[in-house]
Amino acid sequence: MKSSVKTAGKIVKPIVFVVDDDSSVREALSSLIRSIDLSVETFSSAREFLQHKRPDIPACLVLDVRLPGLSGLDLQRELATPKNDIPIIFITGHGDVPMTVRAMKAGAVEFLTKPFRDQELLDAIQQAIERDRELLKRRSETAMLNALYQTLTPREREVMGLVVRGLLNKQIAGELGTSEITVKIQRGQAMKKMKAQSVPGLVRISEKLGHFNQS
Amino acid sequence: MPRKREHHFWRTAAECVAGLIALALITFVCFHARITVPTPTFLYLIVIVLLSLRGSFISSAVVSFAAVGCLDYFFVRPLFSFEVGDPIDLVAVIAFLTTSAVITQLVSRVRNLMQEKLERSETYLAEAQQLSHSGSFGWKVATGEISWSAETFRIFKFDQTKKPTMGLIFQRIHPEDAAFVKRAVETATQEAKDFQFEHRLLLPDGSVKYINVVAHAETNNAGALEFMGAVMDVTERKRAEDSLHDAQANLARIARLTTMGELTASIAHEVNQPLAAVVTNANACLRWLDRESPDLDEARDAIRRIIRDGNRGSEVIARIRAILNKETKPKEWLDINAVVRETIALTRVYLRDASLQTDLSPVLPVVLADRVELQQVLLNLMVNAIDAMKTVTDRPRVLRLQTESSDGGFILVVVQDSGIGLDQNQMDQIFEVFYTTKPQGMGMGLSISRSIIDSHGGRLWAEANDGSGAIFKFTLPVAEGGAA
Repeated sequence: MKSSVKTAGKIVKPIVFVVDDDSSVREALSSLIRSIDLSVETFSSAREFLQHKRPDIPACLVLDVRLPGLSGLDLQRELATPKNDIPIIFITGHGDVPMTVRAMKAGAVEFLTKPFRDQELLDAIQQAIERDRELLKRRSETAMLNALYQTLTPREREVMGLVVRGLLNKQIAGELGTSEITVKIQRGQAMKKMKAQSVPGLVRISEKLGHFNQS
Repeated sequence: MPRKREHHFWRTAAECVAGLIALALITFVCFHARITVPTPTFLYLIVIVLLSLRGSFISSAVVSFAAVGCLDYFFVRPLFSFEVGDPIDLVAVIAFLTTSAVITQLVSRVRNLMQEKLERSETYLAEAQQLSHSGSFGWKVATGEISWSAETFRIFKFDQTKKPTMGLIFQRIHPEDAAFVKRAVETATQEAKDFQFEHRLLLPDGSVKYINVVAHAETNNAGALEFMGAVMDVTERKRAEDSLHDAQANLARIARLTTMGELTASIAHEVNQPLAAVVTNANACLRWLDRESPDLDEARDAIRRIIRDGNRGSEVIARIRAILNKETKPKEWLDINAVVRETIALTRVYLRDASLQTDLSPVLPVVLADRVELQQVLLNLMVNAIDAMKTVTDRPRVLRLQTESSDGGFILVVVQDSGIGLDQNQMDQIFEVFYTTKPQGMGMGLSISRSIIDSHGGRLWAEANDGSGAIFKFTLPVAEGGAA
């Protein structure tokens, strides 16, 4: 499995974050993960990890469930925002079923009980990194579309909003109190700026921007 | 006992003879000196009284009759005849006879009474000595003369015909205690002081007795030193103490197992953690070796970590084993802070529900103590503290451990929580056996903890926390001459 990505012509290794309060376990995990050519950064607590600035490369988190202070499951909840989302592999000394269910329901990639088979962990890590790569792609696409959206004038945004709701030019003009011809021009501008070839294309873009989620 | 009866007969005969000789002498002197009736009468009475005081009833009776005869024959007219001429003289003779009879009777009865009383009190004393397993002794130091009561003979398992000597005593004293006893006795004689000590006897049948010796020194007017004292057989008490001690140790072990049971998850974690690291390191090592160009440095590092973590795991197990199968080991010099840290290491996972604050004084003298027992006390107090904070949600759960030097040569250890706390009533009761505030509690932990601290010469008590929660404190005496 190829795990490197090309960014600005330079090969950047995906990064695996490890959070465990036991230094022996941290060191062992770090060595194992580095042996398959991935970068590793280790943290002894959830707080320490939260303070760390995440680089914009595919990454995943190997997380001990039982941590002093903020627990692994607490950290998972903290990270469950579109901005901070990162695939999580849980490891635990003794996982009980409810705990596993909770973690998996909240979107964990895998839940492993120590001591685990190395291949199991490494497979889970690869899977998590792939998932993050997708997330990253979607995130950068969204970021790009957002940038394009910012170039629209307020009136063009209004027109675009009404277009994707399926209104005709005439109806839009009525809604906004302008002429049909003005709407037609503004609509053309918005399509051009958003790089949409067709109305369905504009609808998809709008979806990606999350405009439908709000209404 | 025919022999005794024979002895008695000869004694009575001798008394009779002596009494009769005395009568003859008085009669001879008085007759030739022509002394009149009253004087020999009184002299005869004196002989009879003396004889009744010293001799038997029979001899005094015989002498009484002889005296009446003499009186009548030699002093009452007509002389040299047993006839009595004057009726007044008859009255005198009868009065004499009556008086002597009454005296003989009276003295004999008083003597019997005293004899009986003496015998009874001697029996009481002997019985009391036997019942209490205490014998008495006297020892005149200058002459070396030693006297023993029957019970002392019995305690030392010697026949009563033997004459007690120091040599005889040392035949019985346990060889391991002989030097110490010798020293103690020498000091006591040199300083003419009372002494008390406990030592063992090794009897010919191989059995061992524990005895307690108490003696009072007395110097008489002539300056001779004499000891009077008691030897008490305390073997049974000693055995009872030993079995009580065993029972307490077993109870403490059960309580320890219970506490450890509560800590199973924590302990499993402590063992599992290094194991997981070992397995992961071994896998990593294989991967470093299996690369196209094997990375030996990384592989070596991984193996070093395997060794380190393997050792860590076995240390954890050794620590747990020490607590579970505690053997009676002599007390050792301990750094109390090290004991606190070891206990924290065993309870780490259990302690996760609270934040742990430690304030361990870096300059503490060492204590002479039993490591496992102290760990047990700390474990107990820490588990209690965490349990007391389980239901607390409106304030931070804080477990605070503190060590410091305390006045009067003590070290103070404080275990403080922010839990539900104790009211005054509970404060008095928590140290009682079978008193518990926990649904699953046995009510043993604190009472055992207190007895452990007591046996170390320290004190364990509870106080209310200023804010909320409870504070448990215990002190341990600083080892003499020991410094950290």
